[in-house]
Amino acid sequence: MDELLVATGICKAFDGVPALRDAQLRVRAGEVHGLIGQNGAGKSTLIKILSGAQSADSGRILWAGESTHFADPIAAQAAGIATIHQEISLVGLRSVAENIMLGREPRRFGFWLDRQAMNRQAQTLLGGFGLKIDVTRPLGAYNIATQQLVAIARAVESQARLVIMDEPTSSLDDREVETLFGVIRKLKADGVAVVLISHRLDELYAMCDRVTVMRDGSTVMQEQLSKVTKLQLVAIMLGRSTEEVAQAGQTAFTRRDTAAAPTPLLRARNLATGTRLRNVSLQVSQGEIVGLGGLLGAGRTETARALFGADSLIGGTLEMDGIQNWRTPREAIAAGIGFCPEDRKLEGIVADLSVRENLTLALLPRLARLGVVNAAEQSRIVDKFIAALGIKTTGPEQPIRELSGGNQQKVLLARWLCMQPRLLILDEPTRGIDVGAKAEIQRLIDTLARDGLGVLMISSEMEELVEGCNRVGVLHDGISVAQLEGPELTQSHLMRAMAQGLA
Amino acid sequence: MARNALALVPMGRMPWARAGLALLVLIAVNAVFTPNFLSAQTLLLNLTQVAPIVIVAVGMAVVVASGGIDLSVGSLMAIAGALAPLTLRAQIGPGYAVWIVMAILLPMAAAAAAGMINGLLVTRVKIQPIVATLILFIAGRGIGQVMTNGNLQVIDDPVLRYIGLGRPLGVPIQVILMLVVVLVFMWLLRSTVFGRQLIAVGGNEAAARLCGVAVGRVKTLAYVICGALAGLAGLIVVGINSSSDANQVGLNMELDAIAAVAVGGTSLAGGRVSIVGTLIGALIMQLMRTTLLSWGVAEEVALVVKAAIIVAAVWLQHRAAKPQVGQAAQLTSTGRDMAAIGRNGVMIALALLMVFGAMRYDGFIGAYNLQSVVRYNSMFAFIALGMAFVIISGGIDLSVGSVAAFSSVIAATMSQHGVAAGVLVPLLCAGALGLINGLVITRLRIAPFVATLAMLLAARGLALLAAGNVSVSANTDNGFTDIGQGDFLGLPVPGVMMVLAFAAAWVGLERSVFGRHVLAVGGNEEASRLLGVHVERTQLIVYTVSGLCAGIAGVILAAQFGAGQPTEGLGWELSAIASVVVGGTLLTGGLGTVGGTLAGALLLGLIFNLLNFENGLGFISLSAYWQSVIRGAFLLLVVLLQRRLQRRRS
Repeated sequence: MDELLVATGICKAFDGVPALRDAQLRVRAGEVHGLIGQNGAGKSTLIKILSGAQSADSGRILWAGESTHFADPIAAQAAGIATIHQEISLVGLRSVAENIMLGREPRRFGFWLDRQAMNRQAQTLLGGFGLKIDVTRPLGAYNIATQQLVAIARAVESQARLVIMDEPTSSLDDREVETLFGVIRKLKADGVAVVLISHRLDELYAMCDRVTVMRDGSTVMQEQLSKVTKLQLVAIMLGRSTEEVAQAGQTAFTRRDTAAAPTPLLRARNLATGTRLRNVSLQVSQGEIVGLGGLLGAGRTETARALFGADSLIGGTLEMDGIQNWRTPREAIAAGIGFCPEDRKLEGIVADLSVRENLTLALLPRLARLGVVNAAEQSRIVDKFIAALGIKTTGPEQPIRELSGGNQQKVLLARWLCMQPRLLILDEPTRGIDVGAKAEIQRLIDTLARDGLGVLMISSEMEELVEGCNRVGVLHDGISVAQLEGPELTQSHLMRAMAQGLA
Repeated sequence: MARNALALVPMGRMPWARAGLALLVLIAVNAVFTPNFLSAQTLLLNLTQVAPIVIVAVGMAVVVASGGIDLSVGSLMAIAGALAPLTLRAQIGPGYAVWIVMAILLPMAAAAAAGMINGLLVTRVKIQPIVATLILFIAGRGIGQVMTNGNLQVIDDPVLRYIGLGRPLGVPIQVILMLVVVLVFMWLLRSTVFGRQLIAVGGNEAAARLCGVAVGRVKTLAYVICGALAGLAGLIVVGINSSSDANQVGLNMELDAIAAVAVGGTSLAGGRVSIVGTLIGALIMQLMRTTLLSWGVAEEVALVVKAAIIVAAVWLQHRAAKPQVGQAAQLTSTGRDMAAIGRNGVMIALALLMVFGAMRYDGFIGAYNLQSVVRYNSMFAFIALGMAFVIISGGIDLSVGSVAAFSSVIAATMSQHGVAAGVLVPLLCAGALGLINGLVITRLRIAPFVATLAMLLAARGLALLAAGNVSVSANTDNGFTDIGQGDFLGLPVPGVMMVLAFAAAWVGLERSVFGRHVLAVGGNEEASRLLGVHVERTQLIVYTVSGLCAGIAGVILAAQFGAGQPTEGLGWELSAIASVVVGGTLLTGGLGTVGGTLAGALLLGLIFNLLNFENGLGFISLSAYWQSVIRGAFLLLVVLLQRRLQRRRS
């Protein structure tokens, strides 16, 4: 069969640290090819090399049978490789149409921009995706899912022969995912090859013909997907035996059915903000993990931020142990609350600072006397938590950006644990973290709750909510619509509650 | 060999390590080749000269660490320097001891208070640091000049002179002060809650806020510290000179301080800081200068070399640093609305000013007056136009004033060979300098701020070299001067050129594919690259255009004065930035208009015009020094107006 793209022996190192060693990818024309691996396995680096965003240290790329090297993204796009990167790489300030047509604008006389044609073409294209939006408005005015679809539409429009999608579904809801899959099927029917990177195995099995598995920068398997079971796939990805994997549950949480303490720790009633929240109420007791479920845009993150005083309320009351209605993160922290935000890079870590500084950022005022930090005490606490949480680092002075996602998350958890909080708000604590570290973090949260900490956990993963939580509050469109607990707390109930109002 | 040696130095833990190595090399070279270099006298002389720069640079480093920048330090030095002798002269009532303490504390307190204004503008009103401190940069020196009426104040007080000339134990006092400041701030940044929080705020403001850090307070304090240190440096400078001249004290200090900070390994993006590095950076710049001078190299050439050092040092450090990753598109309010608001703000201000002038003064709306406003402001409009393109593309060009001066010298010289030569050759030269800016930024990947700062120095040096340090007469007989002084169809020639250029620029930005790419690159450089825009090419063109615009301004300058002016154009870059920002262009790039820029440039020009009329009425007589104060106040007003409109909309 025709192999459209053959990349072999690809190696790439950053500052001497190998990210890829002997990576391989073979894609046939007209197939949907899955690419999976844990975080840090090298998928994104491989994609960047194939799309011309980075260059390989060594290795060979055969494109349509000819040896090639893509000097920059423009060269790769000219050759017919379109890439949709994981982080939306568009220009928020410019209009939707400009973003779609950027770099290939319809021109007159070589330089004159034909605006009408540009807007018309963009409108038609998005129409094909069932997206009816004003293409002259700035892209940034639309939500993330829409932006993601625009990015995909742009890639598809470019008449590529190979479309690479790096986790395209991570911010899409079910309907949008279905739209995307429709597009992929259509591409396939047109003879376009698609490389699909995803953490969701169900998606891969639904869409892909073949799969490539990467581990530690190398390609470890390339197979017809129908010939491998999910269990085998996970085992290969993790580098473990199938037996080991089979024994593990879906998550590392232990099922909890204990009744909540009679007096809740945190009580939030009828919260409303100027932006998305309209009426959210919830309670968390000591030792309880309360989940917060809902579709993208239902107001989960906004609830977390409002509870932490990061967004201001226009209505509703907050209460925790007699302390009421805090307005800033500082007051929330004083009340005994900690908050790990969803976007670690944007709101969590201070990338250039050391593990030590990141870990004690919130604790600093308590470590100080007359404004001078007690360095010995600081080191003692940092060492303690690095050991207790098993944070993999070369030492407290290592810049946090050099840590893996899972270890960064542990540092952020430690940042709050060293404050001895009574309530921890976790927004997607395991997102973007590889399978092994994910289980560790889940186990950690589980233990913390058993030791009496109240936890409010937002998660997009059904398993985490169902297996990990005592109760789950479900949001829809900024309103608390359901509360599930005990035998009611199952995936099917949860899904039905989340979809409420959609029908 | 040199590169290998540099590669051995670890970067992460000691950002100043490379700068330190460079300093050692510099000292070693000097020890061998410069006679008497290692004598105590030479050493102390160098340290004495560098002390005020180091003190200001430490304050700058603190602000830079918080993710900001302070352009007003030089002006604050001027205020402090003016205030000290004034305080002493006001001596009434209690004894001398009280007044001399006041004369030292009051200037520093005033500078700190000015710093607090900077801080509050940044944190409360949420004005970008560059704009917020630009206001006091413009107004501050004017305040100092107004206080002293622009006169030189002789300082005969022994204590004030001691701050500049004292030598306890044989060591110049400012060297001691410098070392104290360096040590105190090293300790402050390393060991206090404020220091740690400061760096966290600069590194990731959102994360710091979620950790309970009082972000606003920390940032404001950084500006207060910077202001107070500038005040101290101002006192030292007037002490050394035994006189206070508000026109001169601290001139260009902001650039020296920023250069020292950058060369010393502190990232201008914030979140990383090295006080030792800042000290080393300032020492490198100083040593280089004296080395060249002692080798008989002219001061002008030294400027060019200084520029090269900045670029080289930052480039070396940059190679080890990680590339900046573009952020995902994040916007709450819509971009287009913001642009419209900015434009509306400046248009409203312009209209109000016109109405005010028309009602108050006879002849204000007359053809003669308006024509002369346009004639004398067209060159600023050209500078602002080039700057607008650079800023919209996400960059900045600090070199425009020097490039214009350089171009004026070339234009005057070449005008002897005909009008065509007098126009084309300077444009070619200025365009080439712009292209070099672009190449340094795109190829060496040096931050535009630093690259064009270096060009600011280099172009000034070239201008002085080409002119031989005096102004150069242009040919006044062959029609060259008509470019500045003549009329075309009854309209001033430079005004006609300006209108044509802005029309062309409007087409270029709004209606051409290139314009879309400039906007896209400014909006998100990384995304634009991935989307297939030739980012580097776009940036190259933009900086070349800015150079060309500065070149045209230089030609007009030479034609208007009938002479090339190698020392003209000081501070033009900041006036241009002010015009662009007042015109509603987002300083972070991706958003801006040509029309707003024109309005912004005219607005700032009109203020001077109004001042003349006000004096003409004869009620009060405002000295020319008031001009900059009023300009600064006006900039503040427009920026506040924009913020207000923006808030109401969102």
